[in-house]
Amino acid sequence: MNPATFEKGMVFFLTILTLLVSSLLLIILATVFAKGLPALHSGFLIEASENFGREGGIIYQLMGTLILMTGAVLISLPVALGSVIYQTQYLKSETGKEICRQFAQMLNATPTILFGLVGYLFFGVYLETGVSWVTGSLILAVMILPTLQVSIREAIEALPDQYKDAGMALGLSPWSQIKTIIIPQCYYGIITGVFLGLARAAGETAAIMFAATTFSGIHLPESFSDPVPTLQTHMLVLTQEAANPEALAQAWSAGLVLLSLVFFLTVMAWILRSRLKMEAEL
Amino acid sequence: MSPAIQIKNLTVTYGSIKVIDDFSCEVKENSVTAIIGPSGCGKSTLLRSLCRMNDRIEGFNLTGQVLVQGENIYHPEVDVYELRRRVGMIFQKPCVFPKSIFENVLFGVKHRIDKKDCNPLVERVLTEVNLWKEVKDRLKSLATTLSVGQQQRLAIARTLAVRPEILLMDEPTSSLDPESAADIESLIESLKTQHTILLVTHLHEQAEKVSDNLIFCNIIR
Amino acid sequence: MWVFAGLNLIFLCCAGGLFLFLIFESYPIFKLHGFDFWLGQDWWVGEAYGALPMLYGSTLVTALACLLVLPLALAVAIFISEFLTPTSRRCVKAILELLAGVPGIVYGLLGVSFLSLWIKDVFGLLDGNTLATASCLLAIMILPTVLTLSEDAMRSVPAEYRDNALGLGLSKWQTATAVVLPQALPGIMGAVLLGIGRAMGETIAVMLVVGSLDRIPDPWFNIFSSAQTIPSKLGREAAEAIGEGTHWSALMALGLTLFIMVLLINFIGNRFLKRRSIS
Repeated sequence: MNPATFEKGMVFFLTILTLLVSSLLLIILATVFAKGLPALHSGFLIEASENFGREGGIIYQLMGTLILMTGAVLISLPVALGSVIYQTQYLKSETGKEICRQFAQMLNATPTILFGLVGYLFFGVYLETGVSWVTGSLILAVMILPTLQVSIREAIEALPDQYKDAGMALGLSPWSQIKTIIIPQCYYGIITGVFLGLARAAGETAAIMFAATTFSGIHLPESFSDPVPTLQTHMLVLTQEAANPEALAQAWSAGLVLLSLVFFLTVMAWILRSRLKMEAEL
Repeated sequence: MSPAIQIKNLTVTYGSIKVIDDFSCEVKENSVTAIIGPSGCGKSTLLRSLCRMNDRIEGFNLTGQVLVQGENIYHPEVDVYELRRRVGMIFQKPCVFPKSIFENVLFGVKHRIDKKDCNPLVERVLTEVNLWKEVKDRLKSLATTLSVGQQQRLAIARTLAVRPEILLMDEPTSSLDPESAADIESLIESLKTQHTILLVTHLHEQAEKVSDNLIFCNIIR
Repeated sequence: MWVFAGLNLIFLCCAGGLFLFLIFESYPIFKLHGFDFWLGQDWWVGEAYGALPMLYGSTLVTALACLLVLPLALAVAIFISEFLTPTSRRCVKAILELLAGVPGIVYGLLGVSFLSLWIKDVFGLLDGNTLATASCLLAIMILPTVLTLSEDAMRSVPAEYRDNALGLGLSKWQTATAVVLPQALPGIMGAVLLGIGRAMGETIAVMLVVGSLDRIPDPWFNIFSSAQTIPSKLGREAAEAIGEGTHWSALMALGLTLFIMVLLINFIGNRFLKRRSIS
């Protein structure tokens, strides 16, 4: 067959295939909207759930998710920032850097349920934080550590050497270099990492389902040892009641809220990343 | 007899940047034409326009006519792939595929010729570029093991295997050492008996040595 | 400086500690059963702990998902990297990145509400929660990741190769398959392996649609029967056993097995990706 004709056929076929794959997002979005909107009444976001989640709103679940992910980022950020600064600014040995890189890859690849199990045992039992939102935040903090590290590392490595040279020429100590040059210049990279980390933490279920959450009974945590309800585990419980249409409808609505949250955070990260690129080109 | 290439009022723009402005010329058959000028003046763009290599660049826009052997190559019904077989192109940086020397020579024709014609063809084109003696014992070894000068000659052989009538060369010697460059220059002279050659170069000396005609490019604002 | 070194140490401890913890916690079960743990076919809490059904389920589900994803990802990656204009390319990549972020629980909900019902109806089964359902769902989940990484691998083949091939009169399609694809292959392999690693560790979505039946399907290739994967088993049972006892230790041994499998796959995958960046 004539290559040009053959190519036209292939391109036609692949266009359809690519459109199909891209429309997957549209299909998922459309389904979640179609299923989630009917049960989404005006008070959904600000009412408590009733009758084992089959009625009412999701205010406490939403709060729980927000508490866990914020806690996770607050714990994870200093560790990520510190370890990346150490690896890029202080650590000289190539082997040392390679080991750190391997460990980060390992952490990134670990199945999330293992974070849940080991994290619960380590934090919850040995450090006696129990089934609580603190345990959940700690577990998620470990989980999103590599995500934050990657963003921060990219930002730091994108810094032109002139900055560092200029800093050294001014006689700045390593510490004041970090304070006055690296952290301000990598601001957008750090914030991008924070948003990606938040998005990852918000979407995670398996890591927190034993260690930090409860289905009903508790509203807002009153102490460090209280568990919280979350959107993810709320959905999980309701989904397992698949035979009950009311529960399923509530699950879809919760899914709609969760999906919006994750997409919002991802898009924020993109916007900040493009800011980062613009700054780099200046 | 019509000229091999005729360019009429050619204007090329990338987005809002005008690279070639209202350019016209004719190129005789079986001659060497050198295009010289400062870098960034549109030499490469001109050359690439002659075998429609610019088509896939975003924002590329061309007006005017380019006739190759009397045929307008920007006519919508032209088969671009067939055109590129008639108008071969050699690039600045020698680029061989990570396959054997033998396979590299046949890369452009392997779907279109019989198995039994392969060996004679490889020998013929490698002899034409004076590479046969150097590589005949190791045709099966990786082409990337050749020296840069040999790689460029292999790239020319690969293009010759497709039997183009016109050869476009975009600074073919700029990444080579002087000795290999001299090899390529003498090769150009021997190829001119059967091919129409357009050569982009930034070396006046080279242009005067090998070419029959000169085209000067100036920066067009 | 010591502050930063300390923070780095915390990070290293998190990663290393996880592994040591798993070994430590699963030691009792290996002391009890030895390597028969991996060969046993029965899992009765309090009596027998055999990991084979879960191992088999995890492997089969992942392999099937991979088989579904590979041709699709390859074809679409070729199209995105070789035939799309830069603007539409960025657009598709953005869509893929969003897709990759959809939480597992949302996929689970979709699987329960649609996929498992479809599979039940189309193949006339009694129960739609099968190996095949889980594989399809996983394939959809890892497709964006595999696709983006494969496309990156193809884009990283230098433009000169394309120019040279096109200059010889090859069609764009021939250029893509004969020049770009072979050179991008290690990168694509790496992408697929990373995808497999992710699929193997996925808990929630699989747990909801795999049927959670702790036995090897009969016959072994019957993909339309319910089965169990390691993460799903952990998700189902860990809450009952948490903290101590042989049951917990057995679950941790399952976790250790999963960890090692995923790590190996990832390690090989990253090796492929790295080889690409060197050459």
